Amino acid sequence: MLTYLFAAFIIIVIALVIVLTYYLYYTRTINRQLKNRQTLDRKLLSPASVGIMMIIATLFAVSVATMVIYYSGQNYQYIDDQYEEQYHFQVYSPAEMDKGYLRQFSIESNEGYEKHEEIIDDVKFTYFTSQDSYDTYHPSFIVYAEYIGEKNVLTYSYDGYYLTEEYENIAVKIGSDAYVEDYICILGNTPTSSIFLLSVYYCDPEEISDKYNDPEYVGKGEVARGILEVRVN
Amino acid sequence: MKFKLVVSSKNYDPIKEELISKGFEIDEDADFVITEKDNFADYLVGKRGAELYRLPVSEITCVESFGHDVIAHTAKGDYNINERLRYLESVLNPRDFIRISNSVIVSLSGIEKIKPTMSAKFILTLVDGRIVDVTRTYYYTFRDTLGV
Repeated sequence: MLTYLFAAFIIIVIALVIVLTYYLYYTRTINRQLKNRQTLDRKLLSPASVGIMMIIATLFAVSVATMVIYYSGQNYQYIDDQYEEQYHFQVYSPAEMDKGYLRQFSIESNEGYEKHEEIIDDVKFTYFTSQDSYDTYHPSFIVYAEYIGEKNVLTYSYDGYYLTEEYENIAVKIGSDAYVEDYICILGNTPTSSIFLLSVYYCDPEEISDKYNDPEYVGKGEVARGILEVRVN
Repeated sequence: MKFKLVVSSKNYDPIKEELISKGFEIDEDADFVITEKDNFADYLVGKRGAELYRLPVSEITCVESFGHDVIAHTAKGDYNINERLRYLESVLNPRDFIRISNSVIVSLSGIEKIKPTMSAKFILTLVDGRIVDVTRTYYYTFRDTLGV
């Protein structure tokens, strides 16, 4: 949300600067014309016209930014396109879990699901696997992830893989740099027995971390990484 | 019968002599006007009190209409003009004078500064400090005259 507001603010500021700069240029040109009285090769647009054009351009840019930010965490990579409708998961914030049909799910218990808990590297996973057969209306699994360490974490990233029993890739989705809240909740659905491999990374930007000795993460402030394997039957 | 002559300087004296020889009088305050085609006025006749003055157009910064009165503003002061703005618009050289609203004609050389607004208007500051607006009706004409 803050990223979106910041992007929208920058776009609006740029638009205002453009309009103001053009207004100053237009004023200078028209006063110079008053002295020279020579017709310009091309007529100038009025500042009002430029202002209207910038409003339209700003609205368009903000719309594009909204869609980019919204869809940036939504990209699945499917090994086979036939799985596109069947294997998917969605990540929700506490506020989103408090709305509509999601309100029925709870970190304490969920009817028809078996509860499990695991703590992996300062990340607590409370997850539920369905006891019923697959249907499109009920998630196959529900995972709550919370950071329980003592660092000042600011953002989190995740990736989720659907794997076959033989650990072959079916689909993957990655999301990054969202602001940490009390927990995140992942609801996922899979039509076959498979493994959902979830990794959640918590970051403190102030911290220079080389904890995992992984060149990709060194220096990026990652302070906790929880990797959970959920077997769905 | 009295006539006012609005003709070029070159033709003024010959025409005046001809009219006088025919028994007509030449009076700047006359109700009847003889004009020369394609000729623009070099001066306007202004009145201050009971006195009539010949005002060179080069000294006029703007002409304003207030109700029944038409006032020519110059560096030396303000003068009442007997003609309507519509008539003045036709006798003043359009290269030098432009109508900017229903009640004002300005001299282009009398404009000190132009300030555009975000609506279709200009705010003009004249050399004598007076501020006048180019209204929306005359906005595009003004822009075309300036060539912007």
